[in-house]
Amino acid sequence: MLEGLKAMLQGLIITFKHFLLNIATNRFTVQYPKKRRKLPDRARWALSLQWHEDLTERCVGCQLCAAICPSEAIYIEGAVNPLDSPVGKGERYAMTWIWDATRCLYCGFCVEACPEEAIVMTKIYEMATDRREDLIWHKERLYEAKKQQFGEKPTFAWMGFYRKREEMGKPIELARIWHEQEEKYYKNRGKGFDMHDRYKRFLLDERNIEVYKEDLGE
Amino acid sequence: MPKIELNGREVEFREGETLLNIAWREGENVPVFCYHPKLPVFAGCRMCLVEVEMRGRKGLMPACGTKAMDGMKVWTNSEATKFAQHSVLELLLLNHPLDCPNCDAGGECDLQEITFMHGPTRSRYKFPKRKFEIRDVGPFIDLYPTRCIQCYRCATFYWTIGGGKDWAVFDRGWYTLFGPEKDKFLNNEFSGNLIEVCPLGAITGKDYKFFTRPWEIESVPTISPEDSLGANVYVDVRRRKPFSRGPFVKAGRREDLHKIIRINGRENPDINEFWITDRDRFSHEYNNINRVDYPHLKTEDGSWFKSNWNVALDWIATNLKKAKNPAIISGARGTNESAYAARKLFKETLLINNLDFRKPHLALKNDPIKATLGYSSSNGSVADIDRAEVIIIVGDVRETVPGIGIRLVRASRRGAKLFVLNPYKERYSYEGWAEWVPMRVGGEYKDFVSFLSDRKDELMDKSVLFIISDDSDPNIQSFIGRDVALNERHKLLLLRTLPNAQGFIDVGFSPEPDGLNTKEILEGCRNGSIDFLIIWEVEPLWEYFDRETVEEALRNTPFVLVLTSFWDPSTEYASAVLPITTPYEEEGTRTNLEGYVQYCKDALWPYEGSRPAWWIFKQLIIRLGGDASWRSAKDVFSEIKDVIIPYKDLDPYDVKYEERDFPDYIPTIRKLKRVFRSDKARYEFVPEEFEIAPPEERHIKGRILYWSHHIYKGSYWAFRNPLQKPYIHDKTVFVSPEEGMKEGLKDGDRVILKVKNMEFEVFIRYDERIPAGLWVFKGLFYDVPLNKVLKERYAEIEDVIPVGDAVKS
Repeated sequence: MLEGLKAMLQGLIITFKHFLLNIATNRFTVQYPKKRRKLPDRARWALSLQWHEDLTERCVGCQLCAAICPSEAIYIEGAVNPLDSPVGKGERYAMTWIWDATRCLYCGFCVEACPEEAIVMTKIYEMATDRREDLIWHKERLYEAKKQQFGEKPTFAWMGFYRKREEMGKPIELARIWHEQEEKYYKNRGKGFDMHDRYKRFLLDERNIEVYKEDLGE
Repeated sequence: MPKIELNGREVEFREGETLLNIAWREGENVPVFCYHPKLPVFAGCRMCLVEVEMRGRKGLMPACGTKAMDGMKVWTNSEATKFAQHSVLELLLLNHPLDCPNCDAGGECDLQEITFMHGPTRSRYKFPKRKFEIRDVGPFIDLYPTRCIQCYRCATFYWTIGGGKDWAVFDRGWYTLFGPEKDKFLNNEFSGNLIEVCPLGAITGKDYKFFTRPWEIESVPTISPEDSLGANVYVDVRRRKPFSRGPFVKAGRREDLHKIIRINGRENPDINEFWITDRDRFSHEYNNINRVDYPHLKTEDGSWFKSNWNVALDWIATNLKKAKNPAIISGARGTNESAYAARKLFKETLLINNLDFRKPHLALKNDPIKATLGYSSSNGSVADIDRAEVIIIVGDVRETVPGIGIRLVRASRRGAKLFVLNPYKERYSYEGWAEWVPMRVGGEYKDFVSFLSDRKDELMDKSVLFIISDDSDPNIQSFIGRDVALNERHKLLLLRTLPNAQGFIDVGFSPEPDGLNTKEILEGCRNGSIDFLIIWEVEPLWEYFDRETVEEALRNTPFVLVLTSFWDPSTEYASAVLPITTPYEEEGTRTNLEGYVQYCKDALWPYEGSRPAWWIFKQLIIRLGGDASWRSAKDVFSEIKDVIIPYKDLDPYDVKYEERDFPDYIPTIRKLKRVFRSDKARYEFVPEEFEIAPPEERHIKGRILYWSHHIYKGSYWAFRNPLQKPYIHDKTVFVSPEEGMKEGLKDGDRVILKVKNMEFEVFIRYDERIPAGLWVFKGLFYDVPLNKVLKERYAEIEDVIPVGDAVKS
């Protein structure tokens, strides 16, 4: 009996502590519709599609995002890019681009898979509605989300965080080390160096993990 | 048995096997590019290099081109082999643009897959890559020479299998460029196979271009309905999850369930081997064009009333009950099941035998082949082309059943003698694969007999295969039938010009014993003795000669029921139009020209409210008090098996797949992996008594208007495709250049043809294959109603009046 009372008191103390802390610092509860919490830069919410500086589409319709998507939330139909009024820079473009918010897990795989950096996740999370169709975003809505979040200027993203214009196209540190390993392989080829060795060494090299952390900004 | 040592273990082999065959059989991983199991060995890409030791000497040898010898030692995974594979791939990738996200082959590309498996992850090549412009070589194919790795598979295929002469290799080394001459279209009906033969995306199809990616595709094994060969195909549809409510839903209709993305060949060694024609491959867009969506009934004021199935069928059934003398004409385009259901409706429920699928001018009382051979079917097979020493072709193979062309080319290469008897030079005689024996229009039989007597020595004691079109002169047919019945070494292959004609004959869709044939049915409609006419998947106004009779017949019939998929002109005369499914939307079996009964799976969902024809006949049978309790096409077939004797032991619905020994990791060969074996229907021939009256010679002198088939324009479905328009010359009459010059006409001129006091405006196109005096019109009559004056295949032209300047059609 005493033990039970003790446990109850312990629980109440925690509740009371949080109550007092919240009154003092306002750390936990946000008065949501009036106030909105500031999301971190790597928050993963609604998708948006990006454009080039001349407002042509960045997406080339390669469907790698649809392929990697674990919940099949993306549906794309490609078409031939018309030469007289080009939609994008490549030979093909996405005629239909549908993102289904009801299926999406917000895992960000699509952003990583995109070879053109056309998909960026926004901080738009207020998507609640009473109509199913509103949660199925077509191309127009996805570009609207880009405008709403980032404005008219092109944005660049890789692995969920933003990069500067100058860094586009350059290999990041992680890739540089991969290439180093590759060169080592070429040098030592034929001297008993196993093909799969480079993967093992890459994983064993502690330097890689540090760089990976740096890249993530941790 | 001789032995080799493969990766340290002893392996037995047969004489003549290559190292690649042995290695793949033993499950070893040897990558290839230029090797293709259906093509001659080229050994040019060097991807299959393996380390070989023989008599104490070591070296690298291409596995695909090296025959195994006793005592050879082979390593497919040694350091030297791996080094060779790595280096060859690095070389092949030097100029490859690596535009995989843009490329249609990305995902089913040999280069991608083998590079991931054996290749380098980065290139050491730091110089600019060579580039070529994208080449447009016709309405079907795009060439991306920049991506080419010079494996020569396309050239090997095009020259040796397709028999084409307009594919060339220009320049050498890195600058090797494939394709036809500059600004020329490909002119070979097998050109679509280049897409499948290419191990990467250097050759891609225009129908499929950029729409989707290979991993989203579901391949449905089925049969091509276009011609009576019944080529085995894979129909590719984009349907990952048929019942998912994914983001695909657009206004309640799944577009991707009604769209075929592309069609690929499927291996069946007895029929099409691996190759299919462009007509099979590229005609699939008609599924969404000009379709009838729901049953339509004509009201008293002449407007259409869009009905539902119950109302429409009830109304039709009450009319059919009242009818005294109903009849049905068809185009033999449905499945065996539908044909059987129609037969049951007429022969067993209505007890009237007025059903026929032949064209009126070919609807004879006595089928010449049946009269002589005992059964209306060919007794030879397509595979006999590979065995025959002499092949005699009557008719135009390329325009009727083009799929057997690969075997004709092969036979010619093998040294067999080919003769083509036709009024004009068709493809095989023009390109030199066969000898052309001209036939005078109207005097075909006489020319045929004189040909046989002239060439007696060449045909004596040889195995002869007659390939005759079923719309050729009946006297020739009965002559050949008699010859084949008496001579064991002579075989007959009857080219059916209608896709499922053999199946329709087999299941009894024929006027025998006492019914009316098509000609008599139309005559009966005209004079009012037939009061209910069903037109099923045929367009009489476009296909039949003597159009005015047909129009009058349709006008005079009190009730015309049209079962069709499209809003074709005969629906104007209809009292009711019922929508039926197109072949790729329907399950069933089809019988090909040599007696294969093959199962075709439905690849698409039915368009809106359309239903298979057997279901409509079943509903009519039930409403007329008959017994039909089928729930699926399979049920109908099990009843066919009880009734139709040759089909007794067949089980086409139990599709059997055979696993092949090819490894799984090579995508283009992956398509070959599963072989579809169909059951074969074989008939016993009982030669009967026959009598042939000597034919009259009706040779016309002067300008003859002659009708001929056309590979695209003559097909009920293919001409509807926008993709094939460049190969279809609308409103065109073909003449020889000399004839045109004599008349003072240029290529592309607009003229007025005056035939039997009627005038038709057509374009003139030069064709050097046509002899002087012949004016050839090809395909269906949807553009120029020349069948108003054509009572049979030819008519005399009275006058040719040039109009205006040259205008391209």
